[in-house]
Amino acid sequence: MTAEIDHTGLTVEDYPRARAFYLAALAPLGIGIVMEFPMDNGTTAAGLGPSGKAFFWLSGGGRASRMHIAFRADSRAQVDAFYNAAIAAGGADNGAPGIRPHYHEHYYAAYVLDPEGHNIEAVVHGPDQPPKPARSASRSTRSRAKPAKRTAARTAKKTPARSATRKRSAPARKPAGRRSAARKPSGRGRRK
Amino acid sequence: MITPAIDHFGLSVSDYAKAKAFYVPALVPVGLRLGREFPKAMTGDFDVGLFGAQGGGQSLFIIGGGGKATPPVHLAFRAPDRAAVDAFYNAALASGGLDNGPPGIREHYHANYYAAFVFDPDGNNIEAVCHSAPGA
Repeated sequence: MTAEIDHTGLTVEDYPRARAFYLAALAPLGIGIVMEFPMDNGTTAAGLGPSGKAFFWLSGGGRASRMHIAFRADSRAQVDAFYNAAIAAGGADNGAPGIRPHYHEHYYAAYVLDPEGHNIEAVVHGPDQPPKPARSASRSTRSRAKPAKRTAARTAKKTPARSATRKRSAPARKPAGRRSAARKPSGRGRRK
Repeated sequence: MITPAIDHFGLSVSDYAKAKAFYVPALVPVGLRLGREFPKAMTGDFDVGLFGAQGGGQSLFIIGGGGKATPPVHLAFRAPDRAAVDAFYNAALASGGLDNGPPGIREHYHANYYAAFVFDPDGNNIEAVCHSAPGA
């Protein structure tokens, strides 16, 4: 049996801002809004996922204490695209795309803090995929191999120590100065 | 092409020992077991535990004792069949969880949405759900 997380959600303080950020950041991973509806508490909720299956819920209702959520990517190019899109959409760098060999040799990931400080990751676990046949194969291999190496070297300098801490501590470390909204998540009643 | 998925999820808890005592038995029916643990002495911050599929593999669910998550989190694990949903519910209640909705069909999601809901020791809404028809 494959163990899986079926769905989860994030309560946010600024729904329109979070919606814009996640739509942009997750588009490279094939994740978009599947459904969106008003909630009883006057805010809005959106279910994001690949077409037809919402597995990541955003809802208004207050800023959550710091969460760590990682989305699975299909390729290293997707991880790169996630990182660039997330930064362009208002995210803050928390670890550039690159291999994290202390997890395993093919653990290629990027980390971004969303507008409310949550540690959002995209990761691909497989070895880099061969280039698509439609493109000029030799050229795209070369041009992809180089940046990947550079990235790996750059992250090697700063990530092994820091990123291990970062990821391991991510579930729990509270960002400084964040207050916690003590409200109940509006999702609970809906889900019950 | 892989279907987009959540790769892993980290939850901050107020009491690592209590959370561990809850999650270890509750997650067995959904195929997760506690693998590596990193004590506070090693991380410098707090105790961390990594849950992965039975028999090893990648970490899917991580708990860290850095403080209670607020507002409470909703997290649903996929169950292979309805019996696993029932087993999750019973194990969770026996290990310190509180009922938040007994096993049963939630038709408003879809005809075969069979789920159970439990509050973990910090009040997070933890669900096990099976989407398949019985015997499917």
